[in-house]
Amino acid sequence: MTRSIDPLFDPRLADWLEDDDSTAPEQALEIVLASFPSIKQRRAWRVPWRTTSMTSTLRLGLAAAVVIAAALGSVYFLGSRSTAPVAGPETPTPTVAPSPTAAPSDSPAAVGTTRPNWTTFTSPQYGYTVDHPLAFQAAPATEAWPLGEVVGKEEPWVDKFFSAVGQTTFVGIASQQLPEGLTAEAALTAYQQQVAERFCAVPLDAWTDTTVLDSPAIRAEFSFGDSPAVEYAWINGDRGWVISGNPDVVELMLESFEYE
Amino acid sequence: MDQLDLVDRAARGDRAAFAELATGHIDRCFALAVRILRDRDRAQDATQQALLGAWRDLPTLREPERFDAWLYRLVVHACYTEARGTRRWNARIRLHPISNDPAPDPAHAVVDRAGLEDAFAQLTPEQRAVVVLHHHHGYPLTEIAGILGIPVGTARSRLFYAVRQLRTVLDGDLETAVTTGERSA
Repeated sequence: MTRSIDPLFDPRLADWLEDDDSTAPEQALEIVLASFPSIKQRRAWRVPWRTTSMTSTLRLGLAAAVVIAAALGSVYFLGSRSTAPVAGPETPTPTVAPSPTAAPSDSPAAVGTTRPNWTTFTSPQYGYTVDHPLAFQAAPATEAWPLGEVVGKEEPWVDKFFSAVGQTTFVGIASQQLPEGLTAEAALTAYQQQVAERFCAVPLDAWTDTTVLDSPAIRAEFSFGDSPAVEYAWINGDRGWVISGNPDVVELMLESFEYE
Repeated sequence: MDQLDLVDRAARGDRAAFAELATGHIDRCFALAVRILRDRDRAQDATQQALLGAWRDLPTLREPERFDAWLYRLVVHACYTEARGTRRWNARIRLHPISNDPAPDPAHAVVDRAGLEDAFAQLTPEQRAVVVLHHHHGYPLTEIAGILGIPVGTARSRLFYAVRQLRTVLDGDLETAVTTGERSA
């Protein structure tokens, strides 16, 4: 059977699209205007090749300088590589699986390894740095995480990252000094016990062993109200760390996590 | 002060210039986002992300006269991120009542809106972006390809398959509605 072409289909689609709201909520502009001054602009790497005052001699000279600089850079780079140890990068990287929501490769703002529309947060309380979505508001912890307490949305010892709208998406990060003599395994087991009794409880059997930043860690998926959530707890030296919240955002944030 | 001056000044860190740009463009950004995402809250998130990203990356914009297209691209990519992050694209199930009013051809009107909403929900974010830019903003495919940073052939094929899918679902819904109406009559 051959389907007849409906000549009114395109106008129908356009009319339907036209019916949608075209006015941004006032809050959106307020948030943008309040947030952007605290965001550092990227550096421009523009060379004024085509300025009218530039003579052909000067252009040739600049081109030659660039070629020489590139050649010197290559020699230095190759030399460094040939003498460098075979070991991996100095900065440890998380071993969690990359999320399928990773930034698209044709993203317009992708420069280096920085994710587009993300910014870097440095924790005043715990000293680490982590990237988070620009549209998330960061609320730093105001006090140290006491022993025996858990990580939650309201706790003052948690660095909190909320989606700006409705605060529906949340990620929390906290760290605490472990008691002297406590092994990593014992610390993680104790944490599981605590979280099993938390308001937003994680059952004991939900945890699996993993590593985060090359450190021993445990991971659990659970529900936060109607939303899925994931939580990692890991030990680095004499400190315990926890990151909890929206699975997609947590996985991406972990990829950029660096200790002080 | 014209837009080119504002873009140039904002790229050099002039906050007042960027505030003026953001104020002037936020409705258009939101209009694009809400049509792609079909959700006001997520559209607001995407709009904010795009505008904040624009401030951060403005110094790297090489062609200030292409600011509008560049900003749309940021909005579309923020929509992709928003869509993938929530993973709710195909999870919406709704019941649409079919009116029994004897008004002229009510089945068509109801099926049009409800059917389009559901059919649109089945498209990928990439297909939605092309459909909205073409059928709402009126951009030709060459310009859409420039905005999205994809080949024209890709833009054309996304539009073709998206419209074909919309048409298939709509025609199917319409047949069902008409059949139901005939049975109940």
